[in-house]
Parts: sequence; structure tokens; C-alpha cells
Amino acid sequence: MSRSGGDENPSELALLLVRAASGDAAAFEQIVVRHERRVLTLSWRLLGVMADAEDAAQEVFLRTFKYLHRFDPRKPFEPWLVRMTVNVCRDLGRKRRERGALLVEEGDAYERAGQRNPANNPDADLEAEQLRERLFQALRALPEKERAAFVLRDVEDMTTAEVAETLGTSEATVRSQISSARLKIRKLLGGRR
Amino acid sequence: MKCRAFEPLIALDVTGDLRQPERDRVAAHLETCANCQALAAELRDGQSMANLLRSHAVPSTALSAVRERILDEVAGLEPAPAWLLAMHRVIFAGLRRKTAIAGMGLIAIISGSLWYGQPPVAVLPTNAPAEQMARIEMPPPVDIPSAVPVLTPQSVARLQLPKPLVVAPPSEPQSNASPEDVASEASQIPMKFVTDDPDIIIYWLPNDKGD
Repeated sequence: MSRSGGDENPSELALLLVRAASGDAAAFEQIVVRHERRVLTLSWRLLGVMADAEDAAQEVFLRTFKYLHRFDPRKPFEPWLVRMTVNVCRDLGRKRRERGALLVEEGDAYERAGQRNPANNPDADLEAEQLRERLFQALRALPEKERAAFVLRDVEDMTTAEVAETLGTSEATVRSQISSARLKIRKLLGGRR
Repeated sequence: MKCRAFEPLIALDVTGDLRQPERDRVAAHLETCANCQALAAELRDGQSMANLLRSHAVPSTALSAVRERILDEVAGLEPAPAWLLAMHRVIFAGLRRKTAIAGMGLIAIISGSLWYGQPPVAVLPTNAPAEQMARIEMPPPVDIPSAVPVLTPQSVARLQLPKPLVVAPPSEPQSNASPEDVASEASQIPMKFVTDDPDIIIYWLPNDKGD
């Protein structure tokens, strides 16, 4: 994976995973600290709302703790975690839709506004923020599978093969989903045709 | 090809996700189509917007809040017991769970079908009483047909064949043909004998003398 923490020692991580699987809370905390940013960011990109993303990240790590004994420590951990994150976000998004929950966009926008850098140009910040919000809205309008393919390929910068592996589908299907998602986003953002 | 057919290809071309022949076709089309050039430019802009999303980091307050919630939840959970870990490693042997389960299911189906496909074997105790042996119903004897007889010149000679029937040719004899020629032609007509056995038909090709 393009973003799989290349700076970490795989054998050290494997040791942490084995220790965490046998109930070592300190080892599990280390795993959480190393991967929380990746999981929360991906969840946020997939769901578009920070409150939902926090719930998703919590669920991902709980599942990780529960099913860590199934993971083979000789294999790379991050693709497994990313796959689980995508599945959890899919489940959560489905539940939210079934319950007809309204997205709390105002609260989210407020939260993002709170982290603007005062040293930057406020107008440029606002413009970027508005653009980002439009992109999030366009992403939310996409079908679930196209959104996941688009986020993993274009935002997470994974290769088509990695996206296919993560989503458990073929590269041809991923290409088709990405192509469709890009054209729809362009249209939703006000493309000419 | 119309522009609409090129749109999905152009959408993939902006990140180099096309194979060389398709890329060449798209490039050739873009050279001649202003509308598709505009579309490609817009899609490239979309990519830079995706970069904007990529550069946006999650707030550190959210990270610490999530970590606290996770560790609180995990503290109340029991880890998987050691025997379960050991059993899982032995059974699945590094395979993916679905692959391992599918493999075990396949083995069960094959061994089950082999087991049930065996013919039942009746095993009688060697010291079974004679009355019990007598009660066993044996199937009636089956008449096995004798082998199909092979015709030899001797066996054909023994057959009591009917006298050959000479059939006259349907056409009128030629005016210049002598009666001896006609008789010679008639004597060369093959004869067919039908025997009682429908599988045995005898053809008789007489010689010049009619033997």
C-alpha cells in the first residue's frame, strides 16, 4: 500500500500484534497510537462527517482487538486494517441511511473552521474550506462502492490493484467505478456537460 | 466512436490508468475534439481537488478522543483465550478464513460422496446357522444367450436353404441380343436369402454356370 507506514519496523509490529492478540493492553495501545490517524482519516473521507468517522474508528479498533487472533502476523497489517475500515464505514453508512439520519454538516464545518491556521490568508482558507465541503457533498451523493473506490484511489493514492484487493473485487471493476465516480463528481461540482 | 464513448476512457486517462492502445486512441481523439479536451481539463481539476481533500488532516483533539474511547472499551473486553489462538493457527495455517473453510468443506463433500458411493457389502458370520443361510433369498438364475454363431462354409452348407429364385430383369431384352446372352445376364443377378434369424442374411453371387 502506498501509505502503509514504511517507517515502522515490520518485525516490531508483528511482535506487538502477537502480544496484543494474547491480551497485552500496552501492546494494543501501541497499535492504536500507530494507526489511529490512518483509520480516522480514511473513515472521515469515506463518511464525510467527523462524528460518524469517530464512531467508525472506534468500531474498527474494537473489531481489531476482537479478531486479532485471526490475523497472520507474517502478512502486512495495514491492508487488513484498511479493509476492515472500509467494511465498518460501509456498515455504518448503511445503518445511518436506514435510520434516515441527517448529516450534521454544520457542526462539522464549525469544527473544521476551528482548526484554520490564523497565519494563513483567511479568504484563501475559507475558499478551500468551501471547496472541500462541496467535494464532500459530491462524495456523499455517490453510490457506496464508487465512493469507496474513488476515495481509495484518488484521495488515499492507492494503486488500482491495491484498491481491488482492499474492496475484494477485480481491477476492471475498480477502473469502471473510478471512471464513473470521476465523471459524476465533475458533474456534481458543476461541469459543463 | 462518439465522444460519449470516450468519456469513461478520458476519466481514466487523467491518472494514467489506461493501457497503451486505449491511451493512443484517446490521444488521437483529443487532438481533434475540443469538447473532450475541455472534459479532460475539468477532470484534471477534479484531481487537484482530491489533493485538497488529501492535504486536510484530522484534528488531533478528535484523535485523542477516539483513542480514549477505544482504550476504555477494550479494557472491559476479554482477550481471546490462548487455546483459541493456538487452534486457529493450527487449523487455518496462515490461510485466509474463507479459503480454509471452503477447502475443509470440499474435503468433507468428496469424502462423503466416496463413502456413500461404495456398494453395500453383506457380511455373514462364518458360524451362521443353516436355517438363517436358507432364508437368504438368492436371485433367480439369468439365461445367458449363447454366442452369435460364426458362419463358416461348412455351417452354410448344412443350412437347408430354399431354392434360389431367379428374378428376370425389368427391362426388355435388346433385339440383337441372343437368348443365351440374356440367360447369362439373368444368372449373374445376386440372390438374397433371408433366414429365420433376422441378423443373418446370405447373398449368393452365382458364377457363369449358375452354380
